[in-house]
Amino acid sequence: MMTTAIPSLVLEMSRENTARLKDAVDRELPKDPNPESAAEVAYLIFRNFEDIAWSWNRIHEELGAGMPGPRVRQALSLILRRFGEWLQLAGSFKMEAASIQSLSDIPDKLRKELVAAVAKIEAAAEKISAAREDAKGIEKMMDVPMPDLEPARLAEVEELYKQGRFVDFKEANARRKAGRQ
Amino acid sequence: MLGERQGDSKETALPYHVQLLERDENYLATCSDIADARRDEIRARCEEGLANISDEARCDPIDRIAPNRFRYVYVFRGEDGVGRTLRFIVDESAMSYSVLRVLYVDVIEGKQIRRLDAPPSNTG
Repeated sequence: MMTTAIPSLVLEMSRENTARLKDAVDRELPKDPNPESAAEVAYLIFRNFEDIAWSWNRIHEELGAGMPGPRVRQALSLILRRFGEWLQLAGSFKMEAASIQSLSDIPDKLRKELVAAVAKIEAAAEKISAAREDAKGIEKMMDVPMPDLEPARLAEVEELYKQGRFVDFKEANARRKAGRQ
Repeated sequence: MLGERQGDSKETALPYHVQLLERDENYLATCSDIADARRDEIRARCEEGLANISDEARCDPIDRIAPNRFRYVYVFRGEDGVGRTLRFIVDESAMSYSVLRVLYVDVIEGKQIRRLDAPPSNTG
């Protein structure tokens, strides 16, 4: 049986984590611009990256055996939204981190940690951007143009069906599989 | 024919019988774009997806190419990491007998699909 876990799983993971992050980046950080809260937000953003990577890798794995179009569309729509949200959050964090780094009274150790956190998130952002491009590539693969079946071609196919030159797909699969074993 | 599927809801509808021409079946059994190690699985899941296609997916305007025909795509990642699309054109004239007939099928190559791994730890 085909699994239906991926899209619902992506959606489920998306809600709580992203809401938490948005709250942290959009509200807490600007109100309380200090290195400790920035480090906490950086940690949350990176944890969120790991969640997204896990979801994408599940899709990647599933594609090894393939997915029907409607399911691919659903999964891509969800993961692309998550990629977009994450990149937005990472961008907001980077801006906040830059303003914190410019403060003169923060300890050197914390400043260094913040710089490292920004570097880590930038590297993760590159990874997410690459995966987003791959996901968009799959979207394009879904929209491949179909060949135009000319009336003559359709008539030929119809004739072959009339002649009984067809098989039941499921039975043929079972036969091929049995033949290989 | 855009009629409703018997049984209507996804849970109770019986699967369609999917028929395809011998030559197309042979193509799917031999084409080099599908790795032998995955061939049985891909073929089975492809058939399963078509046999259980929902009315919603079948009637989606994006996939409808004629009053009695719709396109069905199946995306998979090859052993080389490159994505591929199996494109089907399916006729639903015999849908009232629970039969879907494949009129055309081929595989076309897409782009690389990579895993998403964490950045190296030396970035922080």
